[in-house]
Amino acid sequence: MTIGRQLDLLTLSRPDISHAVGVMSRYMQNPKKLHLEAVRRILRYVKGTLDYGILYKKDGDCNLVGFCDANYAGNHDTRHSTTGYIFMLGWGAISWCSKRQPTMSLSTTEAEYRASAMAAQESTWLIQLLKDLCQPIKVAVILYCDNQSAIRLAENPVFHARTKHIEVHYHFIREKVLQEEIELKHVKTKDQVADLFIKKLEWQ
Amino acid sequence: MTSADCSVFVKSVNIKLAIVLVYVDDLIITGDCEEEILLIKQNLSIRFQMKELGQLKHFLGLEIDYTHEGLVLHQKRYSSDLLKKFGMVNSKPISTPMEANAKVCALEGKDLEDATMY
Repeated sequence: MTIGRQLDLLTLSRPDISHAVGVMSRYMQNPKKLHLEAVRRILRYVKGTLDYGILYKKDGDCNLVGFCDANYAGNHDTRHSTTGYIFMLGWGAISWCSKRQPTMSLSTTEAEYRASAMAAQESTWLIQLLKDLCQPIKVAVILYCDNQSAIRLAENPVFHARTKHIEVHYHFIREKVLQEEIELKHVKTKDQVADLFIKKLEWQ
Repeated sequence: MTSADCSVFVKSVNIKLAIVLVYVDDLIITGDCEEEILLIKQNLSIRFQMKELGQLKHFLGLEIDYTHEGLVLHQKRYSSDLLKKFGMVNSKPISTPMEANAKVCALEGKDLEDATMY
């Protein structure tokens, strides 16, 4: 197994490296020296953080909350945007993703809107899974997004000139909001947890 | 079988639950209904040869620790093995996984002599 694939398996319990691993795995087809150096840096980071894991607390509330974010044109080669989302059940992260969007977004709003649609897909599955485990969710899942216009776009199903090209399946989020399965809420950028999946970590 | 995940099986008795998760030949049996869990174990061992491994400690490379606060999911062993495998055991730790201002591009830089490792 290659180093890229093996690091990918490490993201199972390490959301903090998902973005770095995701970015580096894009170069698996034609890796350069530079990329190997970057991968070695991830390993050095892992070395310093061997103790990291996810704690699922015994008590406390068990609400499902999501955060979604997008990095508009974040990929330097193709200018594709990146989606990042994370779902927390109570205090523990249960599902997360850092993925380059398959289609080109023309605006930040559009990139964020696509990210929220992807998060909505995941939340639908999580709601079903919790229902299967006899822990049904009675209220709408709150999905935090730091882009006001993406929230408006999802809440208000009107036709906009600048969004008419967005493919139908991305309007999935609208349907979920209308059905009151998801509630989109605004979150300040500094409280946005999901930016971990679209940006480089900075030491604070 | 649940509709969300075809490898999860749930049986609910009154308000109590017994859950079985299957991965190839590994099973996790859990729940809050002790009797049902015992029954499942008995029934399964009639049909299949089974080995009881006790409390869940690792599953598919994931390790589980039990603390007074709750459960901790981690991959310490997997990480150390990875460092060993790629000769990074004595490397200097760093605080972030990626350089803050680095722009990674596809075509920059020298070719690798051995690209199979990457």
